[in-house]
Amino acid sequence: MNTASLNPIILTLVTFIPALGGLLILFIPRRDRDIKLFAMVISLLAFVASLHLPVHLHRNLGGFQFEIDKPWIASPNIHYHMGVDGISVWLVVLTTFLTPLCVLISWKSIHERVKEFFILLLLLETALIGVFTSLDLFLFYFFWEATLIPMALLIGMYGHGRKVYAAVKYFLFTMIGSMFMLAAIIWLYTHTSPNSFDFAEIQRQIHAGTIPGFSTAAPWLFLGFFIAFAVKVPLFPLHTWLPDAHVEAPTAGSVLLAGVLLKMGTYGLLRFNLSLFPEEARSNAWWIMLLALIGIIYGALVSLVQPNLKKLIAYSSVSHLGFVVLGIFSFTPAGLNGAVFVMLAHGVATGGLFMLAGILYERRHTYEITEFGGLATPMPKYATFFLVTVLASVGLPLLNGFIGEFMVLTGAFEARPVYGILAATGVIWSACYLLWMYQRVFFGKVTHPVNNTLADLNLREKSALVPIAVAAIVMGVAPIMWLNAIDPAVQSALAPYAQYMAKVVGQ
Amino acid sequence: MLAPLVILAFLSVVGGWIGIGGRFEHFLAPVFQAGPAAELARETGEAAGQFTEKLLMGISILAAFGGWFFAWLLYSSKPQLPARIAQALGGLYEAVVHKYYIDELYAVLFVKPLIDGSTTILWHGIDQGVIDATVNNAADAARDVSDEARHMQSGNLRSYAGWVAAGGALVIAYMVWMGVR
Repeated sequence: MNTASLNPIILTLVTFIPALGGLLILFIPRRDRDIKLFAMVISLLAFVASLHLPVHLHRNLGGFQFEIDKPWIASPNIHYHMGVDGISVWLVVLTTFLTPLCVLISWKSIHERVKEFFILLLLLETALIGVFTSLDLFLFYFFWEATLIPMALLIGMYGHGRKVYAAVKYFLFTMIGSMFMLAAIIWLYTHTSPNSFDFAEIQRQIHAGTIPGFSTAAPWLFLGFFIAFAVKVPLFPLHTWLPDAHVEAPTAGSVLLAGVLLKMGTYGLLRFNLSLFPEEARSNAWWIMLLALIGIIYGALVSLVQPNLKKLIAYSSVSHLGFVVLGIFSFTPAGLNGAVFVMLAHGVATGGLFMLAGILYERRHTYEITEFGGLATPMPKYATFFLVTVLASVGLPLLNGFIGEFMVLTGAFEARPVYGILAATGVIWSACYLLWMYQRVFFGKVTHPVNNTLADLNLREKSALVPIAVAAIVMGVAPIMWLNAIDPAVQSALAPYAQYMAKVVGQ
Repeated sequence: MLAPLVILAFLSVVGGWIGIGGRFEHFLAPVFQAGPAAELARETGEAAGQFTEKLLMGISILAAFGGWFFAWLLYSSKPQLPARIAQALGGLYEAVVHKYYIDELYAVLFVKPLIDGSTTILWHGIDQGVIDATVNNAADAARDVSDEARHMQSGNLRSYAGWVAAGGALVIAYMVWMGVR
């Protein structure tokens, strides 16, 4: 069969296979094993289908591919418009890659309302993929908000501790941020002629300068989009929902939250703030980069002193996502390529760290670091996987964290040397907090006798962790397999800046 | 552990000899030019450069054998000697055994301030005390205001009629005031 013939419908398939599977689970009787197996099959199916995208992607082209554009609602003018470029294609694959692992890791830890859990997980997957594939702003906003509900329910229903507080906090933070974006989207729709939610059409009209009042509104529109994305990233000082949400969320929720949801923010900054408002992005870059820099160092320092394993990883996300924002607003090819690569690397490594933390929680029902110590003796295989993942997150050369951070630092240094130098200290901090944590959890003598009896990884847990370790190594050794698709997309995202600079210089 | 050590020992003996004769000097020539040291050696004459090289090699080999000798003396031949030396040196021995207290100094100067500062100022101070407190207070304020406002919804028809009358009076007063102005 010629799989290329799937090109026009592949995005629809990849996006909606999980949701369809979730709906079908409704009709499966409450036999937990069947439901889990079915969810596993569906998520694997979505993963296999999504592999079609990088295989058939024309890597030397920067624009959108696999496009589908059908009128959906005539008035207002909403299209079912989807497409991916070299940036979003990897975020789709990251989502479909992590979801089966989430199913595996939730196999034993979810005991109640198993059916609802896997339905929510699959609906969440569809919403996440939809965010990365939508090219119609209305569709994008629909999927954007659609991620909120399953995630809030996953935290509120299946979390632990102050789960409802965390779920409500997460919901309110991101919802309030999104309202500003909705206002900006509606402004764009009402002022374009013909009225359009279409990303490419809006971009064309902005560049042609045919939108009345755009130059006065643009700073506010920029901020509207920015706030929604900055909350999601999360950028300092809008990050306090993240540690709470992570600590209380079930493992699968944390994996998708850190692995994919945060990237919605950075993806949005890259796709909308950069491409639609080049001039505002330029003039606001200095303080956004400053916030990113504060996030890198502040997140790392707060992470250093966390007594709770999951909170430590959560704050490390604040630090790592700071690198992404720094790279994006450096407006250099190296910085943007690096930013996209850090997004993927962080998704794999931090997703892995949360899975590992969850495995420990299943055995001891605590995340307190002082409860552990010397775990390398009873759990050698677990300790090995943990070390690989920690080193990937630290950014050891030959593992995936290194490539992205190095490129971001190169880009930041090109743009503003002082920022580059300060951000480079973030690499040292990440080694400090992660390796110190690793030392306290795994090295030395077993301090609590109960830890001597902990079982090492079983086959199910190993099969969830092997893909993470393999991805971390392959991405670190052969990053070009990803970067040769990312780079053309980054170049075309930066094209307006070249024109803008030429205009400024020409005057 | 013996086998790996034997392999490493063999490689270190053999490895040292491979470079003699300048076999690798131009190994990366298309990318990296010869460094300043090599330039200097060429300028001052190969012989002088080679003499320094051999001298340094000799010194380092002597140092290695010296270490060997002292290890044999202290641990194998006269194992009672180290304790006597330690006693004779007193404070100096203490300082050396604690690595000149560099670790302690470092802990006091950098590690403790960093950890304490991150805990009290950044985490409890800024993160929980300022940012989170603002968010939580905003939420609490919204709840408190609503809690007060809900008393209007008493279910008492006469009180509703009172609110309507009060509202109507306010609107009329406003219109009159606007008209007068």
